[in-house]
Amino acid sequence: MLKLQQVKIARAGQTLLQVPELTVAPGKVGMIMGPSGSGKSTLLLWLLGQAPATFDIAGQLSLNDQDITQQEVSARRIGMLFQSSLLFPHMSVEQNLLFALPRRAPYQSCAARLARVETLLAAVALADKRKAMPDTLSGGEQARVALLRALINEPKALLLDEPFAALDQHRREEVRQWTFEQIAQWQIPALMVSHDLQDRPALAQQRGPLLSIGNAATHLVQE
Amino acid sequence: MFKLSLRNIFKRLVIATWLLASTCAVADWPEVLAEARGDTVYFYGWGGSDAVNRYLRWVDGELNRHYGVRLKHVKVADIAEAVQRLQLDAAAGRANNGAIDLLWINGENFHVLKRAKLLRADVLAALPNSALLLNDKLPLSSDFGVAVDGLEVPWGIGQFNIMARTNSFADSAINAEQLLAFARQNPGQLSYPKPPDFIGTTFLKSLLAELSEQDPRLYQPATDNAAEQLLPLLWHYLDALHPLLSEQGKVFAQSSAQQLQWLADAKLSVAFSFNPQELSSKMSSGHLPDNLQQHYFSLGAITNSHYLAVPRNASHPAAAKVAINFLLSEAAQARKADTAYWGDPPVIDLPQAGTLLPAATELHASWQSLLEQHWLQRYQR
Amino acid sequence: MIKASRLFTPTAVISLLGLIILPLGLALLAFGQKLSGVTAAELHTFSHAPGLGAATLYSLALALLAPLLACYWALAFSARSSAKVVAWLSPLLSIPHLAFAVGMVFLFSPSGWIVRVLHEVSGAFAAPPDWALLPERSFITLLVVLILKEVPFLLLMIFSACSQLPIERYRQLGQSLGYSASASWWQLVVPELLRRLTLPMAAVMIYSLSVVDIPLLVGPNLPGVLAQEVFAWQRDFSLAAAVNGLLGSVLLLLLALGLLGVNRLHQPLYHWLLVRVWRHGWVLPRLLAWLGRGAMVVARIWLPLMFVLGLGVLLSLLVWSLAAGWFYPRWLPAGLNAEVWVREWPFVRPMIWTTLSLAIASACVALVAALACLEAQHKEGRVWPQWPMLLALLAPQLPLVMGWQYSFSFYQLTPHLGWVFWAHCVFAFPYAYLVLAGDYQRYDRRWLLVGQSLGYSPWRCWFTLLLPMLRRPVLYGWVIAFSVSVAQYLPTQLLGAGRIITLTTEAVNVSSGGDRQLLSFYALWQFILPLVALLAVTVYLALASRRHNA
Repeated sequence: MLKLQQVKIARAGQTLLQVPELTVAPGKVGMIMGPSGSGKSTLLLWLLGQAPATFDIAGQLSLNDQDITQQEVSARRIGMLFQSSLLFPHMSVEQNLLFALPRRAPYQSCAARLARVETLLAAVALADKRKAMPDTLSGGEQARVALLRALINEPKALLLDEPFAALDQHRREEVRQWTFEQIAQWQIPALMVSHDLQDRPALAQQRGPLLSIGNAATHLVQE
Repeated sequence: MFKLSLRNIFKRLVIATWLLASTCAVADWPEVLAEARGDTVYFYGWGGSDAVNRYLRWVDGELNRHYGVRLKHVKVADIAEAVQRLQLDAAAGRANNGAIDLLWINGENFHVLKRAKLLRADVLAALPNSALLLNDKLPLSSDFGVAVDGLEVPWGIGQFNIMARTNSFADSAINAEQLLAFARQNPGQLSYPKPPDFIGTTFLKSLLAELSEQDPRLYQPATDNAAEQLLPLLWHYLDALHPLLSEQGKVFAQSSAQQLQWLADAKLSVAFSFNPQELSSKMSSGHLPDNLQQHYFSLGAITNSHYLAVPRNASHPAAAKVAINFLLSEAAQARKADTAYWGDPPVIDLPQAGTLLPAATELHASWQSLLEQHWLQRYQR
Repeated sequence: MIKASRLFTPTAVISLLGLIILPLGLALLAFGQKLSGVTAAELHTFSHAPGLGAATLYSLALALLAPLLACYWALAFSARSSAKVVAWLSPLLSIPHLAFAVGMVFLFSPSGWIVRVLHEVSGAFAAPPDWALLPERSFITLLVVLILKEVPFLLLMIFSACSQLPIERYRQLGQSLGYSASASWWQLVVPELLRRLTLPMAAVMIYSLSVVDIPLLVGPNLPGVLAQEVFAWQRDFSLAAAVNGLLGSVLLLLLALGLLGVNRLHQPLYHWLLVRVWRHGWVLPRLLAWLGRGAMVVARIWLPLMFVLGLGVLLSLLVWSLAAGWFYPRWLPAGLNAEVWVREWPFVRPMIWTTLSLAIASACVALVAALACLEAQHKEGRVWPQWPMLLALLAPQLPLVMGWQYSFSFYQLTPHLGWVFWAHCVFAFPYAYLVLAGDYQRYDRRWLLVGQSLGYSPWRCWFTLLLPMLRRPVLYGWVIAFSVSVAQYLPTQLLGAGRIITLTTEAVNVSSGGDRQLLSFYALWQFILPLVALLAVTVYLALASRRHNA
C-alpha cells in the first residue's frame, strides 16, 4: 500500500502541484496525468527519495503504513522505471538482473542467483538474451528487461515515468499489457506518470486512482 | 742582493707558515674522515658531458670503497642554477642544511659567491692533497683576475682552442685576420655560441685581446673609458664577420654543445672548446669525425682553471672535503687527464700529463659581463 | 560512521586548496613581495633590454599562430573522420615535445637524414645545402614543431566535444538545406565546436607562450621568444638580470591575459563572419575555395603523415642511441652497438622508477581531485566555472614555478620529493579535469538513481555504475595526467634542487651537452613511458569494447 498525504510541490513560492491524499493498493497502477512542467515527474523523484533541490516539497509518504518520508533512496525499496530503459550499458542482461537481485536468502549461493535470473528471463521469453549487452536489444526487449530488473529487486512499490513513450505504437500496447500483468502478479503498488490516457490499465482490477493535474486544479478519480 | 734575499726569506717564511698551518689542519684529517663516513655529498655540476658524468660515477665508486662516502652528481644544465639557489638561500637567511655540498665553478659564478661570502674558507687548507697542487706552474691562485683566497680548490685547466676541418688553416696558430679570410672564402661555415655562453664570450675575449694588442686595461677591472676605446675594435671586426657566418649571423649556436653538433653535422667547419684534449677525446669516442685539427689563437690560448668549492651552508662539509681531497689525488687526476675518460689537464704533477697549448692570460672577470651586455645591445635588436 | 559519499565535497575542497589556491597564493605572495621593490629606473632598463620588442613579437606570433593553425588543421581533419581515430592518436599524444623536436631537426635539417639519403642516392650534397625543409634553428622550425605536437591534443578534445553533439543530425540538416557535407561541417558544427574548444585552445596558447625547452633547442636566438629570454635572465644572477627576469615574468603574465582575451573572441568572431556570409550570400572567391580544398586534402593526410613522422622520430632516436660514430654525409652510422644501453641501464633504472612513481601517483591524485571536484559540483547542483580549475594551465609555468621556488626558499622549506610531487599534481590536475569534465557533466545521473532505488548506497552506485561507464574518459584523463607528469622539467628541476632526477630532467641536462647519442637514449625512454601507458589503456579499452560487443 503506497500512500501520499498532503503533498505540495512549489517552486519559487509558486505552488505547482497539490495532492491531499492518494493511495495505491498492491497490484494496482495509479496514474498521474498532466501537461509537461506540471511537476509530475518531480513528484515521482520525491517519492523515490531524490527530489531536485530547486523545489520546495512538503508532505508525507508511507509504505505499508510505515512513514518513509525521511528515508534515503536506497532504504525505501521503491523501484523506478524511466522512459528509456536505463539498463546499465556496461553489464550484460544477466549482470543487470544479478545486480538487482537482493543478496539475501534464498538468493545467496551463486547457483541459486543464476537460476533465479534464468527462470525469470525464460518466463518472459528472453532466455536467449541472457549474455547480450543492452545496446544489442530491441526497444521492447529493453523495456522488458528494465521492468524485470525493477521487479527482481522485490521492491515495495514501483514508480513509472512515462515508461511507454519511447516505444512505437504496436509494441507499446504489448509492453503495456505485459507490464501491468507483472505488477498484478507481483502484487506491488505502482504509480505511473503519463500524459496519455491510453496508458491507463484496461482491466479494472489493475486500475488504481487517477490524478489529473490541470492548469487550474487537481482532480482525483478514485477507481 | 740584499733586497733579493730579503724577499726570498719572506717568501720562505710565508711558505713555512702556510705549511705549518696546513700540517696543523692536516693533523685533523682523520677526524674529518671519521665525520664524513656514511655521508652523501651532493655535487652540483654541469651535467651535459657524458665523459664527465661517467668520470664522476667512477669517483663515487672509489669514494664509497675507500672512505664510505657517496658522491651524488646533481646534474644541472647550467651551474648558474646552483649559484642562484645559494643566493635564494642567503636571501632567506638559510645558514645551514643547504642542498648543495660541493660545487663545480669558476669565473663570474665564483666571484658572485665570493662577494656574497657564501663559500667556506676552511677547505683548501684542510686537504692533505693540496700540497700536490702546481701553484707555481699553473695560474691557480687567481680565477679570472680575482684572488682565490682559499675559497675554492683547483680541479682542472681550461684552454680556449679551435677545432677546424683539416686544411682549413695552414698553421696550428691562427689569428683573427686568417679567420676572417677563411670566412670570406667559405661563407656560412662559421658560427659561435651566442654570448653569454661561456665559450662564445671567450671567443670575443680572444679577438679583443688580439685586436687591441693585449691592451693592459683588459687585465684590470673594466672601466667605461677603456670599454669605449677598446670595444670598437671588436665591433669593427664582428661587423665584417657576421654576414659571413652561418645564417648570415641572424641565428647563433645556442651553446658550444650545439656548435660541436653542427661541426659533426658538417654544417660548420669550425668549433671551439675549452678543453685542449676534447678533440682527441671526442674523436676516439666517435663523437667527432677524424678529419679535424686543433688550432689556437696565435697570441695564445686563453687559459683558466676550474674549481671545486663548498658552500657555507653545506649539509655535509666533511664529506665534501674528503671528496675534493680524493679528486686531487694522483689516481683521480690521472684518470681525469686520460683522453679515454675525460682528458681534462691535471692541476698536480703527473708523469703522463700531456703538454698544454701556449697560454694567454684570462681577461679580468669584469670584462665578461661587459662584453656580453654590449654584444647583446649591438647585435640583438 | 561517515558515509563514503559525503567525502566528495571535502576531497574537492582539499583539492582546490592544495592544487589551485596554494600554488597561486605562493606565487602571488612571492611576486608581490619582489615587485614592491622595483624602481622606475629598473623598469626603464627592462623596457630597453636588447631585443625585448622582437622577443615579445615572436612570442605573440607563436602563441597565436601555432594554436590557431593547429586548431583549423585539426578541425579540417575531423571533418571527415570517425572517433575511431582517437585510438590512433594516443601514440602521437605521448611523444614528448623535446624528443619530437630533436627527431624533427634530425630528419629535416640541412644536414638531416632526408638530405643524407638524397646524397646517398644522387651524390648531390657533399656538403649540407643552404636550403632545407627546416633550418636547425628558426621561428619556422619552432612553429612547425609546436603545430604538429598540438594537433593530437586538440583532436582529442574535438572528438570529445563531437561526442556531445548530434553531429549526424547537423550534417543531415545541412544537407537538406542544400549545403555540402564540408559546408555544413564548417558552418553548422564548427561554430559549436569552437565554443567548446575555448578552454583547450587557451591551454594550448598559454603553453605556446611559455614553453622554454623547445625554443632553447630549435628556436631563433637573436633574440629568442620571450619565455626563453626570461629563462635566461632568471638563470643569470646579477641583480639587473633578476629584476629583468621578474618584470619579464610579469610581461609574460600580461601577454597571457591578452591571449586569453583574444581566445574568447575567437568563436564570436568566427560566428560573426559566418553571419556576414549568410546575410550577404557571399561565395568564397574561387582561389580561396581552391586553397581551402587543398588544405583539406593536406589535413586529411595528417594521420598518415603524423605516423610517418612519429615513426621517423622514433627510428632516428633509436638509431642514434645505437650509433657508433655517425657524421655527415653518411646516411647510416659507421657501426651499431648497444654500448650506451648497456652502460646507462643501471643509471637509467632508478630514473625510470622515480619518473614512474611520480607519474603514477600524481596522475592518481589528479584524477581523484578532478572526480571529486566534478562530483561536488553536481552535489552543489550547479556547474562551477571551468577556468579556476584550469588556472595552473592558464598561467605560464615559468613565473609560477619561480614564485614557488622563491617562497620555498623564503620559508626555508627543504627541497623535497614531496614538493616535486605536489607540483606534478598541480600541473596534471587541470589536464585530467579537462579531459573528464565534458563526459562527466553529461553523464545521465538517472542511472545512479536506478542503482540507489535497487538498494545500493550512493557511493556503491558511483563506484560500480558511474566509474565503469565513464572508464574511457577516466582512463584517458589518467593517462594524459601521467604523460604531463612525465614531461615536467621546470618544477622537477627547480623544486627538487636537481636532486630528483627523472628521465626528463636527465634528457634536458644531457641536451645541454649536445651528445646526440646519449640524448637520443634518454629522449627515447622519455618517449617510451607515456607510450606504454597510453598503449596499455588503448588496448584495454579496445579489448573491453570487443568483449562488450561479443
